[in-house]
Amino acid sequence: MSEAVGPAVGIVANPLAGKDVRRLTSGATPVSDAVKIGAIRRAVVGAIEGGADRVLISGDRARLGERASAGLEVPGTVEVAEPHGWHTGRDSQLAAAQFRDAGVGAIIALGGDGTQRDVATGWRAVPLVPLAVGTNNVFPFQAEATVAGFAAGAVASGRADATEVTSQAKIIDVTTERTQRSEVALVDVCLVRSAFVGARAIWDLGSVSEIVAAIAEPDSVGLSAIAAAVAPVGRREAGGVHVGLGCGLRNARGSQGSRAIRAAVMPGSYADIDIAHCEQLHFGQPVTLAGPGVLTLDGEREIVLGRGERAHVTVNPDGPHVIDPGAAVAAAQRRRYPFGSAAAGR
Amino acid sequence: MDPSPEVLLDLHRRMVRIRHFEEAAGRLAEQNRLPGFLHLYVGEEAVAAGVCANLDDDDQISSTHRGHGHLVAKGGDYGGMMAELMGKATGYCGGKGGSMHICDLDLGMLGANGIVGGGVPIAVGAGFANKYRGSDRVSVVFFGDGASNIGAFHEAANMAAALSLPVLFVCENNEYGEFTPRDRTMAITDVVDRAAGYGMPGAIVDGMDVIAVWEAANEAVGRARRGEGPSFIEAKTYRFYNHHGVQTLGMKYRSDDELEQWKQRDPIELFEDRLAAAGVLDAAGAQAAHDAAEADIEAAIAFAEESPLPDPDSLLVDVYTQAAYAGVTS
Repeated sequence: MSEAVGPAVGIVANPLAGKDVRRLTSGATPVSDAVKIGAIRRAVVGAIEGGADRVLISGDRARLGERASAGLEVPGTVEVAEPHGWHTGRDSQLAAAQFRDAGVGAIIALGGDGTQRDVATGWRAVPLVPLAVGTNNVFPFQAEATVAGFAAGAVASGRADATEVTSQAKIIDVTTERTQRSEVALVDVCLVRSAFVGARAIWDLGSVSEIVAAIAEPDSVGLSAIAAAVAPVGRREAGGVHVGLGCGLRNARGSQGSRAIRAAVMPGSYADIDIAHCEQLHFGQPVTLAGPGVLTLDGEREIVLGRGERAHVTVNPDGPHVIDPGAAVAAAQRRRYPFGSAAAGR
Repeated sequence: MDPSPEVLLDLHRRMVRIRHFEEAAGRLAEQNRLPGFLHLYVGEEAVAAGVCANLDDDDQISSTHRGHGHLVAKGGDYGGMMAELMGKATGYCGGKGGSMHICDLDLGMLGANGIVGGGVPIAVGAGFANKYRGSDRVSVVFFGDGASNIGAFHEAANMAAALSLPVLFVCENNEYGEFTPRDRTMAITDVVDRAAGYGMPGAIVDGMDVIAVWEAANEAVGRARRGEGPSFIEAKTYRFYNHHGVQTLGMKYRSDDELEQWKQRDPIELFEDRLAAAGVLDAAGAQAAHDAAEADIEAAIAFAEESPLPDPDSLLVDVYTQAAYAGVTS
């Protein structure tokens, strides 16, 4: 992949997004390759229209980029990166880092919370349009890919001022004490009483013992919805929330005054949850989670902690710069059609 | 909930028994001690083990040309299997079926199948019978990525979904149909994309991770037993040996690097590492399981080699129905 000279937009599409076991466990929506290919194709058209000279698409063994750009005639360059060959989220991480190094001005990421997390792992403060094409979609949002592409193109080309049309998201940093493994999450980190990563989905809600959430909004679905029922924290509010669940904390129930809530813990699934304790978190305030167990990052089991092994978790303010598509398109249009604001003012 | 320690050890034992059977069969084939073709399941053990550990003897499976692993995972007898591979009278099919027709109806193993995709309607038929009889039995069909291009698969998948049958479709996507890469024969990468077209839920699992397979199958089998209809699981996996036999026959249809990359994720080694980390099975315990399987396979080989070939007078037995056979010979 050559380095970008003019305004460039990157597209990261996760071939595995929207296909995991949650189709069986909770009736989550299946997302086919065809859906992703169509979205990439429309995003490319939008990005060029928005001001990008070049669009770089992540490579993968599903050849989503090649299939999306086949026969596509646009007044710009479309390039599909060499696949990294991991066939896991690592591919999206490497693609994001690669795009950053190539001078890309904004990325459109197609996937759910897991895919957006992978992009932020590769490029922490990425200017990002996170498109909801996955299973749990708390961080990304629904938008037409054409418009998402346009917004990214407008930011990359300077037609929309990034400082005006983006807001910096929160990010959760996770470091394991023994192995010094560092990971990030965008929505929540949980400790689950399990010994295996397995099919990654959280199998038994009764096994969740602690939640650290950066986003806990009342209209969320997933573990952050539990935190939202107790102590909501908006995505633009400072800090986060740390919630302990009843599991394994029965002794503390009486003294700490546990209470039961009901929340949408998965798409299509509500559950009763005992809350044992809850605390608001400032930015940078560490929470220590101790094994044995598995840490979930944005709802997927990722890191196995042995007995007594500890991980330190903090909510921080320096995550991706999320582009508001509506604001970005409006800014670019104002610049392009100055009469528009007068007309709108009538 | 994690599988219990008993389930974890059972999964390990099933995988190890498949591996030792297949390695032994491969060695015998290399020494020209087995007649016919041999399609080895080495590398794909987590799929059969993870699925079959969720089944009872009354549940049925139908299988493929690469079927030894499915029968071992269902509880098949090494001796009867090895004798069948050697064409001996004590084999599962009296020595007349060989590798690609191996079956055990008492265990609900409805047969390996030399016809690509041929097992799919058989399992769906069993599913229909199970529902018609009001039993809570579940049937599972194992098939490959190539089989999902066959008409029989599509008709059967449609019927299973239309009639809401208790069937689990398990696609073992090992990326090659014989010697042809999947992307030369399909415009999609994930066979599971086809499930939605028939109106059944489907999921991809890591076919090298037996716990992931077990979890997905546990959910899918539960759905079928509860009367919620068919499910589809696509297990991403890889065969460590050639399409048939052990040698690659010098055909470079896949690269050494690719093979090596997949071998780094050997499903048994991965699982043993995790069992050790979880304190469920240490290295000595794992070795004991391997030693036990090896001793069993040695005994099975001796049994098979000492067994007689079928009597020439039995040539037409199991070829025609008994009534027709009686008519022919009378």
